[in-house]
Amino acid sequence: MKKTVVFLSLFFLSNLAMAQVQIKGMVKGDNGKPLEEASIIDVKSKKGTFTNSSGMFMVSVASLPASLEVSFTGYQRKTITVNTANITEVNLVSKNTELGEVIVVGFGTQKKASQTGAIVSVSQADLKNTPTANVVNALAGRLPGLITQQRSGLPGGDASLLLIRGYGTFNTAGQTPLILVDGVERRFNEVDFNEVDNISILKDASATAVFGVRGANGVIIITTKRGILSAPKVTVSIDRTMQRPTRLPKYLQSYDYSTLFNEAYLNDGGDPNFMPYNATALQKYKDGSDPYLFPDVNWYDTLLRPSAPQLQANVTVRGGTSQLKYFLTGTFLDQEGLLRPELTKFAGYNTNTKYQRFNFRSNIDYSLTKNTIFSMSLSAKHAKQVVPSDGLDFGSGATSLLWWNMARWAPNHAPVYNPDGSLGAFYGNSNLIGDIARKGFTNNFRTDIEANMDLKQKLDMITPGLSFRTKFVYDTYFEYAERRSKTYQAFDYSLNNGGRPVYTARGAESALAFTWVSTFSTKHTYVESAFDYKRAFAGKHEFTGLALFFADRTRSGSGFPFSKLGYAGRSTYAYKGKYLAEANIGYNGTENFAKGMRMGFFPAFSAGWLITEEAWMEKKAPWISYLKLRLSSGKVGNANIGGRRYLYLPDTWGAATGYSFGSGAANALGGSFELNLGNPNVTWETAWKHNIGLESMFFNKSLSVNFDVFYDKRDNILLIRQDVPTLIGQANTPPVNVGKMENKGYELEVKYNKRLSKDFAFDIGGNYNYARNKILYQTEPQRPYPWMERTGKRFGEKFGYIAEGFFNSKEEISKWADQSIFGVIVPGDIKYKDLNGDGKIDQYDQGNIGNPDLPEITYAITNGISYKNFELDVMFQGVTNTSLLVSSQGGWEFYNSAKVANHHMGRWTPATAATATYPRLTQSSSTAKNNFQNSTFWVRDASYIRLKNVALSYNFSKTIVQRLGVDALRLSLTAANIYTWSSFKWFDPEIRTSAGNVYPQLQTYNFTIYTTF
Amino acid sequence: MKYMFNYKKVFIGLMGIILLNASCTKDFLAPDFSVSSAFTQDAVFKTWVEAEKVLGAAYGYLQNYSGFNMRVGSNRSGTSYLAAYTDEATNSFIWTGSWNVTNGTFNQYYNPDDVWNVSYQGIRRCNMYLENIDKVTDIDAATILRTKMEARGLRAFYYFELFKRYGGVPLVTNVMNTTGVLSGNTDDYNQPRKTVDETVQFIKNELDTVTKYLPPPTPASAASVGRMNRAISVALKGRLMLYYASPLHNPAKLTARWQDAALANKQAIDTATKYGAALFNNYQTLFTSASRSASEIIWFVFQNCGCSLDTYEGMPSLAYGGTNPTLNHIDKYEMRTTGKAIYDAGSGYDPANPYLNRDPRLGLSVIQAGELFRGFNYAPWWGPGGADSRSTYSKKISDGSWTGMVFKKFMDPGAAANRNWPLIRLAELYLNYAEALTEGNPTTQAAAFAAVNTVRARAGVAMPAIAITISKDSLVKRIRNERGVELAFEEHRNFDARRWKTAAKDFAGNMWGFRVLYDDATKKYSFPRYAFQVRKYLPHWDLYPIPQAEIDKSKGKLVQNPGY
Repeated sequence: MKKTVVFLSLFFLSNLAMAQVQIKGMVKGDNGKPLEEASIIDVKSKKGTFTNSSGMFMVSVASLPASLEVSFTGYQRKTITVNTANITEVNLVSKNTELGEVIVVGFGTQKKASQTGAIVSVSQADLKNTPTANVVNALAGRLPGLITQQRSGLPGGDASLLLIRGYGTFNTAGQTPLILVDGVERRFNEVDFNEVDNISILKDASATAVFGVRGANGVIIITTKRGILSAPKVTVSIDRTMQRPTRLPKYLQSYDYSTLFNEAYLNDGGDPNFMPYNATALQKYKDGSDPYLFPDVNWYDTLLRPSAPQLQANVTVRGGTSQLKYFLTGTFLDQEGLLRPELTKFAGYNTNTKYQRFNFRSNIDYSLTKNTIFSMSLSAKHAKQVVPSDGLDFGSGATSLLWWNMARWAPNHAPVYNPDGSLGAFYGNSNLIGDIARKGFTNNFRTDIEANMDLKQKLDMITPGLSFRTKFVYDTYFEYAERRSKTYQAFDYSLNNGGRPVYTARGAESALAFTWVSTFSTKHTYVESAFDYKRAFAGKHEFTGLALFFADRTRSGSGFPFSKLGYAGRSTYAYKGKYLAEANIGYNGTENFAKGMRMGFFPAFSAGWLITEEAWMEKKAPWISYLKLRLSSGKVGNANIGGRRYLYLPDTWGAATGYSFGSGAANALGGSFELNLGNPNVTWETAWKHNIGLESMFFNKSLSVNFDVFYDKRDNILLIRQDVPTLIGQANTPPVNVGKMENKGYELEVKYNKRLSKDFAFDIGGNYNYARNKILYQTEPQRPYPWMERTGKRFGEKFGYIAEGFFNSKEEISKWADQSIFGVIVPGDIKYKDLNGDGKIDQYDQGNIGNPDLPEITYAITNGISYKNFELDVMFQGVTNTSLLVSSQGGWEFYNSAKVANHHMGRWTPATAATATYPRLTQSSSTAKNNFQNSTFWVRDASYIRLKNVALSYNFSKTIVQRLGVDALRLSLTAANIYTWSSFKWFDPEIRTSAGNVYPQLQTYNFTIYTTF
Repeated sequence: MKYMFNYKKVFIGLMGIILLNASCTKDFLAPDFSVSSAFTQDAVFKTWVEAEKVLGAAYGYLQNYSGFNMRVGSNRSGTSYLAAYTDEATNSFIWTGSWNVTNGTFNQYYNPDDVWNVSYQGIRRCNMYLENIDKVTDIDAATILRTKMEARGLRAFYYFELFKRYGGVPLVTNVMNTTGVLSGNTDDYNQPRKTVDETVQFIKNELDTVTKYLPPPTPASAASVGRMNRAISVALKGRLMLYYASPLHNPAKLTARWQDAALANKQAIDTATKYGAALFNNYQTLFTSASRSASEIIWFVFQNCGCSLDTYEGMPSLAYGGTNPTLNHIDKYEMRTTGKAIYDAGSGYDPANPYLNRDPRLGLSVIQAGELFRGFNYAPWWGPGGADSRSTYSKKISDGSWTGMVFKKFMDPGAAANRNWPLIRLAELYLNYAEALTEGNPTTQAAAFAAVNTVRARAGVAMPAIAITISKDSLVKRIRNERGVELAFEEHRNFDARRWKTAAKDFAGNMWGFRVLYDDATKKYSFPRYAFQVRKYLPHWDLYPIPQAEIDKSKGKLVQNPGY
């Protein structure tokens, strides 16, 4: 009994003692930056913890002195002996060869040092200073080889176009990369960036061959965070953001509008005795004395608020024991639109464009036995988007019509409000305030449930290094849209002969009614099983192997299910860690091709040489810390060829326009015609990809330089022949796999970092990417002159005339090549170059005049400075070799009765001939007219450099943090799209609609508070 | 050992999972059964129910030749009525295709009325039906024969539409298969153009053949109205022969062709009237509510709705501007009492009241200043209150009428009812006949006067008869003038002026309109004339250009019309 008591007391005392010694510290890397998630293990108890994002940790030990093992992937493991409860910091040294760092590759992970494909990745730590509603918009400039283009800022519809190394095919149906979230092809726009652990992009054949017919355009793999061995850590972050447009088009107001209108009227041959706007009207527009009869409306000012708020809040719990690890997170996003909220409220509802999203994720790993891990990853997302009126989906519909009309409606057409407060009538009964608020609204809901179940089994008992894993995935997406509509009334205001106001009603008010509903659901299942093998022999031979099977099926809407099936294999060999070889094989296919032609075989081979592992290097060039050369070559496919499904089937017939006989519609005879002509040999595109890469680090790893150069050739591009005469009488001839295209370029990444003192460190770096494609073959009608040919030129290159200034006199016109194909030419018109020298301007004088929409060169410069508790990150991002063909409302005057813009003030008149920057004005701008031909005048250089991102963070010092009872506290101020340098001023140069009238890109100013406890 | 054994079991189990996965996947990539049971050509031509829809699709291509589609639909672009491409009218909107053309842009790259592609698509549908319909067994032979004749008649119409624009064209009478598309050998699809004579001969032979077999027309209430019938095929031949005899296609001035044309049109009139066709007694509703029932309309393009027309072609007060008739056209309307042209001495025309006592068809075809239409007072005057004008006092300067008038023909003044587009009506046949008869003979014929005066005598129009004493040249002029008035805006003028080779004169130069003024003090309108546009027209435009894309694809086989 006594013994028992003593034993128990000792037991409790020992426990007490264990609890009493809390060691606190901080782990930093050799660049002076705190390391997040470095592992701290008490050697004695084998218990441990991880550092937080500030590199801080707290660990309990039984007694002092204690031994702590500190490790971090890619760094040399360090065991320290601790004699005091407060150690200042542990500095880890990164491994010379980075042998430990692991990166995500197709169907697995690999050691960075020994992998030989062109793969780059970015971790969430690098993205955390770019908090955007859409994670893909944070990738701009971050990853060499990834080209991003954000073409709209609509909340919930602002995803960037993502391309790896530009365009590899001119078939627009399949140009974008395969995107995987946790190993599965999924929607990714709505992944919350707090969930993201890592984003890898796979660029060459070696990296993507395992994906076979899905891999030719490159692959983006998003991996979410998982639990770690640690006491539960709770992280809370709150982002408050203000959004405002980057650059809106600038239109002229009533006085200038009517002055220019009169001028255009005279240019068009109008009678000067009957001017459209008389002197009285011009005076009223000038002095604004009669805003109802002579209004001056600026829709941008009327409808848009200076800035719109966005809120994002996240709570994450992360931790784990050796048996159970967990990562739980929840995020709420509330992004408001730019419309003035006081205008969008009407009769109890609010139509302001709004996007709200909840993201939940639970990633659990449970060790069933020492050798078996069962993982369950669940993600649920729920998004709601509100758009005014009948906006049909997340990005089109009424919101675009709104921008269209804001750009179109003349400023003097009608007052926004009449004197009696009623809405002024513009076209018919339209008024934009009525359109945004009084036509009802559409709610779009989207719910995503994604579940991964993974089982990993080590099979070392069979043969060391062997393991098995299987994955079962079930995703379901449900979309629901509902619309409430009403009509509204606006009034034409005028004065009658007696000067009394007259209000003419337009349209009618109706009650809000439920008018439309749409549902769409998708069910996606995916199964994957694989054997992994990894073993080293005799200390110098290292093998890894992968054999994998997957099957993927998606049922969506009412169509036939989409099925994919495949096998993948990988084998790597490293000799003494310096000579590397790798083979990747994909054997897979889709149901979209004919039997016997469904599966394709896609091999790729690569090799690498880790030169710094050679003994002689140390002696000859000790300043080189790391040098690796790699080569890869292989074949990948792209089954995403567009067109309709099952092209291989025989010609199928379907409904065509029929006809009605009889005196009414009662005797309608349906129509039937060969809708879809088949091609029995239809197949996927084949890409032959080659890559040479160099990875290097110098001067104790303070300078790193990576360089990749690639050449891709794409065969079997599906196209509709353009050389089939119309006499065949069939507009949709069967598509054929005959197109060919090449794509080549390089990526350079440089980074330099330096710690100048204990408190001060900085890094500077950047990347520069170049990709140029060339159409090698496409069916093309005979072109009499080489400059007219599309073959041999780049995809998306612009064609048209070469503008050579303006005609200044009739004499000049008569001496110049004959441009009468565009009607009567007068002074002030654009003159074009006669390329074929035949004395007249026609189609034969159209050549390539501008860069494609997608930039060929993209680059970014990043700069980070840390001083004591402050961190400053700055990123500039730029693109060049890109142009925009401006037309219609984006550039022309009075197009479709639309407005005139600032740039029209530079128009040609006899008096301003010498300095004119714009041709003479007309009211009849149209594609048939001389000045509105596609020409170099309208092709504008859309290159830009952006101050893309600035982030200033302050990490509260340990003393304050401890007083607050938390582990870490950080405040950040970030701003995005702060300033843009571009020669193109008419609207944001990243927008790619020629009319420029879309929801603009946003500038954001963000305040974040981030704490861990 | 036991431990090892367990793991072997596990391994075998795991292999089992993989094999199971793999074995399930034998047919994993085979699409649903229903995919391969898609509708093939054999299935279509197995049953009459399905096969007849192929004819339905061939008829469906008629929609491309509806004037309504110029504005409302999308098949022929340009967003103006064809009338606005001629001296009949202009469009309020200065950016429309008609302004581009009339300002001088009409060529192989730009032609808003290009029908090359759609016509050959319609022809393929006819050929498809003709080549395969004999395979259908669940229908009687008589129906097959009749519908084959319908398809041939339609095909002849589509070829006529090509001929009247481009002259001689390639004659495709079979369904070209897609082997060449798949193999890349596209040369076989190229065919040279036939001569005008060959093209006309082909269409004529086809129409003659189908006339023998096609049934007579049925009453307007019948379920088959709108189907190709004997009256249509005969009338089409009449029109074809008239075009073939006209100066554009008859450079040798062969009078025999006029005589053939007279005969063909006489036959057309006789056939139509024999089965009950008669001039309708209301010239306005003929084009709106009665367009589906009037026996005068021999053939039409079915239109489910012309309603948007009422806003698009109406006055700005209603919604938008639209087609504005020119004075070049309006001046053709004679004085009602005297039957004289307005410029003739003693006509009784009052420039201060230009609409007074004119041919009733004027008031039925255009809306004039101050007229109440669909609840709105048409206000095109230049000055205060001129809400429909192009002046400061209009909210829609760009929508206002250039001429002080807008379309009324085809527009429903009341409820927006469905209406059809007239393709052939009896009045045209009378005018075809009168023209051919006069041109084909050295002296005037009583029958020609009778034909044109029949049109003028329509109930509700009742214009004085043309005196039988006038000369042949005068009569030709009067018939052409009558044609302009009677068939206004119905897509005849564009081709009539071309075949007469008068377009270079008529379609070029000044276009006139009224600058309507309103004096508030006296409450009186005045109608000064002004030229709103100086138009261009080049003589070679008489024949349309073949699209350059087709010339390029043909590798030299297709020869462009001269001048382009």
